[in-house]
Amino acid sequence: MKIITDSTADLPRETYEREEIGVVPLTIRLGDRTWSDFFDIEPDDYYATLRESTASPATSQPSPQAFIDAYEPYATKGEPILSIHISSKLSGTYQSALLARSHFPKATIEVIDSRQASLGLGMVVLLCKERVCSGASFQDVVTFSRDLARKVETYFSVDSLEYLKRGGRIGRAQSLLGTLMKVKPLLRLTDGEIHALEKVRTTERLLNRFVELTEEGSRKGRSLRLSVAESDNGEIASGLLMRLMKIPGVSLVHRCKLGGVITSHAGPGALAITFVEA
Amino acid sequence: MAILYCGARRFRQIITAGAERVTRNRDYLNKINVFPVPDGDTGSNMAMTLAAAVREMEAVSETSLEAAVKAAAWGALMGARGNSGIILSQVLSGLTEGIEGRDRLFAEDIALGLSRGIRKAYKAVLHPKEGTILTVIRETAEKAVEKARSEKDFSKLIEGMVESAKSSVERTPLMLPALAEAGVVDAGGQGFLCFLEGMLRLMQGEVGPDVPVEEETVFEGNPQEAAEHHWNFRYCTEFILKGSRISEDAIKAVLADMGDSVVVVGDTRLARVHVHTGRPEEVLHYASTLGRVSSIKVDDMLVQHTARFGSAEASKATSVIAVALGDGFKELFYNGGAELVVDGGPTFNPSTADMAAAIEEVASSNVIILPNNKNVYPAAVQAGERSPKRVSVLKTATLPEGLSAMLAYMDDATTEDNLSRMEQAIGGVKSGEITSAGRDVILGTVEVRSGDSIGIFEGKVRCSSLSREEAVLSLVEQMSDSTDEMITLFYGDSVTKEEAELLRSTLQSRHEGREIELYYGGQPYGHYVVSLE
Repeated sequence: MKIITDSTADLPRETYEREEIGVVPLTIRLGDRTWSDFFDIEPDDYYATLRESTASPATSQPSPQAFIDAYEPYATKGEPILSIHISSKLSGTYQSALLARSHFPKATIEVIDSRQASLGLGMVVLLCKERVCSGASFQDVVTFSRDLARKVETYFSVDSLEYLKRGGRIGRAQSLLGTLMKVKPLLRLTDGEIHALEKVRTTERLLNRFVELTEEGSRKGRSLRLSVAESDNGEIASGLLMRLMKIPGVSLVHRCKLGGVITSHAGPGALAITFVEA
Repeated sequence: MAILYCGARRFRQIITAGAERVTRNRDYLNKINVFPVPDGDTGSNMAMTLAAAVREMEAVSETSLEAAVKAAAWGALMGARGNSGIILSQVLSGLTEGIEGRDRLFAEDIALGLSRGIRKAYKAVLHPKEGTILTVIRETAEKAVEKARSEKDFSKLIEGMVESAKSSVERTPLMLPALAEAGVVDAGGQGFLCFLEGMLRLMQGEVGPDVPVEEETVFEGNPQEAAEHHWNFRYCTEFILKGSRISEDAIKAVLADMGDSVVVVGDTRLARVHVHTGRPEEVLHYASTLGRVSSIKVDDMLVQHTARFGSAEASKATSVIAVALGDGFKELFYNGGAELVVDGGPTFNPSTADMAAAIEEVASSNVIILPNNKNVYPAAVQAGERSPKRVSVLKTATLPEGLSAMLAYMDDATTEDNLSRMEQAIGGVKSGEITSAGRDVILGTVEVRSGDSIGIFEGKVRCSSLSREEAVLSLVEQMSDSTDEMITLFYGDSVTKEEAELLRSTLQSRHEGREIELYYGGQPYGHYVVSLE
């Protein structure tokens, strides 16, 4: 079976290659320039470009045709496809994938709304691949992916809410806008959309909260699979990762950089963790 | 000098100039887009449609007028996005009729072409609505036909069209209540006006800055609030259909049952279709029975709308009362979500009765009080005990502690949850104050003269100086330790903004790597309140 995701999974290039995971790109537009996310621009280059730009970035979902092209080689061979995507509340990508599926009435294609984005989506994709490698049937993996989509939790902070606001993805964190005093928002991606969790004043307190949230998640000796991501915030992320790895029961799935599309909406300077009991 | 005709070169130039002005105003047009669906993409759609027309014109190698006009119309049709884009493509296609073999367009050709185009556009839209881009183009076409009878100067004709379009656009809110409620003009109509204005600028050879529309237009309402919409047909679905015997009317009739905002344009072999539907798969399935479907685009307008305007706010479970001194501090507490800010009075000592009245006044029966001073705490506790409401008093002893707690408050959290967040936030913030000494005194090692600025931290005088800025710098030195990330200064009534800004930069130069924030506190007695965290 083939697993296909979209570029907002923010997995490193070598991971896609090693795990043989297909990736369909979204598109980024900044001023007069456009890039195919993941394929055309490296995260670090995009952070620098975005910091220098005065224009607001915009992103768009892949066309149904892009998914048709991605499905075609496997669909025609009769290989089942598991297509796992960014939350349908944040992007029309899932919709495009569904439309593409209707082009292959005879093929076995399951399209999954991960209700996640970035490292959360990446986590769902990687854990599904793990299942595939351990010999699970297609149906088992499909059921597992749906289950993960309900359980995976992502917590993140952004340097400024401006990007989420301008990109229109602020969702239920809307209430944080207009705060006169400078705060670091702690946000949560759950049930497919963004919620405001807390406002803290200092980075130290923010990191403490990430640690506390992970500790709460691993309470009663549950084992947690965890991932960490950042945009132009590597040093802080490394420090956080060191602290998180000391929590009993926590094991690391992956660490990544936020890609172009996600950074367009979260901005540079973001920090995120994802975990799920497993 | 009069311009009496438009050849291939000028045609390319004016279409390109019109397209550019639409693109420049894209964001504004998106913002005022409330009808038929407030999905905020009219500007983008029109800009992309016209960009496609320009690209196609540039791509054709033939230099004839016929080739240019046909390329623009074809490009617009193939690249048409959204209702307004399809209408624009029809207007351009109106110009292609009878173009064969011609190398010049005269004023009356433009007028007649526009009239033909708008008739096609009305036909293409299933339920044409007045007060939209259709009205604006129709009235402009009527004006053009009338003017072309006597006016042969091309730029004068366009000038007349711009005037007419402008007055049409201004009248759109009178025709469409949705626009009036939102306090905007029709986005598509405004886009068409931009298109004409771009052409006119080019012909008049204007070289000054192209003023964006938004700066010229005053609008009073809030499009986001007024835009209420039902989302049964939330998927904006577009595609191109190629077949042998396509009937526009038949397609329109079938799609009318599946959604609204139906637009079908083209001929018997190729049609571009646009519909808002709840079931895009069914629409595409139906289309595939008629011919080959390509260039499919499906947008979830609810996602676009929610993305743009956010979702509804949750109701309030908890009322927060803060006690504060100074307009700046009061404002910061209100901004943080306090429902009521009680004025601390000159001695920062409101009575139990004042506190009791505040508790009764707020909406929720769950009340959290931030006393922000040790003296206020007992009065607040007493008032809380007498009230039938569930009152919790947090031990905030200073205004910065109160603000830290206030910032931790979240509107949509439960009262218990908020209490624990706010309590947690109080610790970890150190707070000091700079005020004037009333008399000469020696306090420990600090010698104070009347009128000096003294720095107080943890109830003790830590420093004294003739200059209040020096006092701040010295107090901060004494308060700070290596774990502090952030210094916040609140300047009082007696300090000007410029003085405070200057102090902030001095402070920044002495504390590199720390964030320094400056806010107006407006406190009547202390010069500065400073906090470290």
